[in-house]
Amino acid sequence: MNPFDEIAVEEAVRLKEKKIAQEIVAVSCGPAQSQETLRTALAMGVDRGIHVEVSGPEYDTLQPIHVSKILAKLAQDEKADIVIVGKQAIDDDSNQTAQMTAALLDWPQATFASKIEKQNGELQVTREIDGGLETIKVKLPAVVSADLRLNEPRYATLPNIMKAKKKPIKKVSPKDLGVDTAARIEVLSVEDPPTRQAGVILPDVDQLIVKLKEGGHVQ
Amino acid sequence: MHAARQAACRGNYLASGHAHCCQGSTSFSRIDTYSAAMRYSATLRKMRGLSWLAKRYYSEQIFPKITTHYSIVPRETDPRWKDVNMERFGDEADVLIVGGGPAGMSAAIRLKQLAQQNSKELRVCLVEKSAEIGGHILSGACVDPVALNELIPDWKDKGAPLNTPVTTDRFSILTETSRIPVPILPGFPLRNHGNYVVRLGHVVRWLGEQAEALGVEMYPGYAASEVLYHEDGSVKGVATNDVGIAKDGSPKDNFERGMELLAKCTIFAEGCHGHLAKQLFQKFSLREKCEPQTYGIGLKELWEVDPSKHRPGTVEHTVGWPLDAHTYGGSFLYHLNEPTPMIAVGFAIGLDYSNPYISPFREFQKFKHHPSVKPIFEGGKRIAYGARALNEGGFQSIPKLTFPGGCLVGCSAGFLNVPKIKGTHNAMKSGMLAAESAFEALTDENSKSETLGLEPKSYEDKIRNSWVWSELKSIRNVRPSFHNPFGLYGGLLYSGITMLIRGKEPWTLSHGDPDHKRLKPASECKPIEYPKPDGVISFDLLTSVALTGTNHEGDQPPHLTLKDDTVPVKRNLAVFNGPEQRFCPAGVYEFVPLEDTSGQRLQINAQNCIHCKTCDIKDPSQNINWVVPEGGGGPAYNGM
Repeated sequence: MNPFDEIAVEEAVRLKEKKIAQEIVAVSCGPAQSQETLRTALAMGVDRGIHVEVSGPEYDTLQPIHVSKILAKLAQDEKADIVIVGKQAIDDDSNQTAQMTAALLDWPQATFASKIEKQNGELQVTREIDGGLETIKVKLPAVVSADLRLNEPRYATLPNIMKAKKKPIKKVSPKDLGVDTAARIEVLSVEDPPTRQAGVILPDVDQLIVKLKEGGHVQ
Repeated sequence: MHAARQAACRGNYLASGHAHCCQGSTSFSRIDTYSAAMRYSATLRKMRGLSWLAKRYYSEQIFPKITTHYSIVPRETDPRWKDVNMERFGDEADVLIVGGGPAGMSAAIRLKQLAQQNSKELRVCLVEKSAEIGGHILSGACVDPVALNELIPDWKDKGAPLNTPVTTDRFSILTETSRIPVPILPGFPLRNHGNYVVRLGHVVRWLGEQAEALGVEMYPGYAASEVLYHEDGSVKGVATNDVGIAKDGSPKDNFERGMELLAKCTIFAEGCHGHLAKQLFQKFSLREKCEPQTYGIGLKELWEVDPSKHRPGTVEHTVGWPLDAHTYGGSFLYHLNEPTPMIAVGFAIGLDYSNPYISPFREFQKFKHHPSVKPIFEGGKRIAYGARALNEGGFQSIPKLTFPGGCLVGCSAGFLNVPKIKGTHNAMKSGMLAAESAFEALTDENSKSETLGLEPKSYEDKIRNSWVWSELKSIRNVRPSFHNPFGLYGGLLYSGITMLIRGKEPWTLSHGDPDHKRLKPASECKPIEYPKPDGVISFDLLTSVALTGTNHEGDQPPHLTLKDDTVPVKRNLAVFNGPEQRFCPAGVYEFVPLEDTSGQRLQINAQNCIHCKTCDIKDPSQNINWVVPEGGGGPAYNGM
């Protein structure tokens, strides 16, 4: 499971343990192997799973906009109060799904959460931002995205995995949800970063200036 | 502080009178508080004699504490574990299989097939330490489909990934500059007609899918860490690893005890030099009547080559250069029939080598530069790397296979056919035979077991009556024949003869000393100058390790445990110049200078480990005991 999503699942389970949440539903979009990811979530304490089956070439071009539309539709159908996701996926590092889902639902968003508390029917969320920590209040229903320091996820122990086999996983397809998965972005190329050139040791500053001028770095 | 106390205790039984003097509270009955017991200085003051000895011989500065794993540092007397609930949840199956490789999978599938055929309900569970089925599988591999044909005759229709039938077979002897072809006569085990080049990881993954479809419960990502016994001494199952233990051995907040997986019969299929099999050999004296197992290390890379050089179905083997006449080993190079022009190339070295300066990894990299080998890599790209120990003992080293409560299959027992360079077919067949035997033991109403754990008694007979036995017997003298004054050349000559007469000679050669006793002191051997990797065809170790995708949870006790933390420097480094820094194919062992004194210490980079088991085998002091890390860790091979 994507590490940030693991943190999100852990937070959801903790909210349930604190009696702030009543039921947790986990969603995964992908081929048959996504069921294993859902089993891990179920083993951590999620109540039921929804597997949105996307496989083959359709899966290769699945992008955050599609996932956001799927999550938005499911959130509405399930009448969810909180949608919690990891802040980004470690394969594409997009960091878009939470934000787009919130926009589609017209819900407030609390991204990069490092602490979540419930106060008077609203969520008080501490966010990690470049300048430090920012605390905001959002009305429910809301979308939250989990950052690294939110919690340390529990292990999915084997007895829980075995028990999770009995928890239900519903299978749907993007078409059932009315989501068109045609690609909106085309990947033109993927390249390795340029190989690092060897450095050159120069004897004195004058040489350095000569080299800099030669390289056109200095006029 | 805990560290030096540990070291002091281990070395000074005389002074203390009993081994866990200062760990537990036994000798300090007056001390009730937890923190007082922990205070090192208070402890030392009470044991004045011990303190002098501790500073003299076991100063933490010279021999820093390395091993914190609970198999060496017991938790029962460790104060940090005093209030931790150590209860375990248990579940029972009919048969439990430890290890999801070809042997384990074949056993699982066969059991379910038998259950179906006989309309019986059988709960079969399989645990595998790799995060995904096939993730820890590494092999050449050129597979003889004889066992698969028996297990799943319609494997082709079911989509088994055996895509590359062997078309060309070459065997050569390399010298530094040339290549001497050796004809492969019909009847030689090395002949590969009818065999397939495969990516064994993918085959195992496919076998896993077949097993799941038949209803086998598979649990990848969970490592079997402990064998459990009934009161009558028979095996009752295994316990999976505990999680959430910090690097220093203390419990973390998310500590969770492993689970007990119990079964009427437990089949151990851990592969070459399994760590639980090692314990079973001891406990049930399974190796009393056979020779010690001998091993090799196999390193492998996958390359995408220039399509013009790619000839799918080509199988090439070499012996000779870069190894000298007295070091057993050779290379393989197989052209696969995959969507991209892929080749599998690798090198195996017998772990009975005597020169501690040998680095198997660097021999492999050197081999690729041979003038007849190099061209294939030019214009190509390396996409994978890995390594694993393999069995070479064959017939002479087959142990007793069954014990009350279970049995050993596959490379855990050791059925690899060395001259044929194949073990998968024997492993699979042994899994199938064990399944049949276990099924008999489980369902035969007339058989009365003396022990609670069922022993599949007919398994050993089934093996003896099968082609596995006759095959291994016919080539039993090939490998040991290399221990002669002419080394490689004497061995090749004898092997040629014995293979022609199908091993009918009345004698059986012995392997001699076990591998770990074969190292000569460094002072008697010449250091080897290996060429620097060029980054195009040959590579450095750490770049290669990155390709294995290996990872482990960082905050856990190192799973390469040392029985005695002082031995690596005192013996391995002093006498053998630290061979572990050379034979480990993942750079786990490093001798680094100490901070303030002139001297060195062993640094164990446990996170690099690729679970090859070579260190446990080759350590001349047999001080390294490989135990299983948290499940899910280790390499992430894809179709190796």
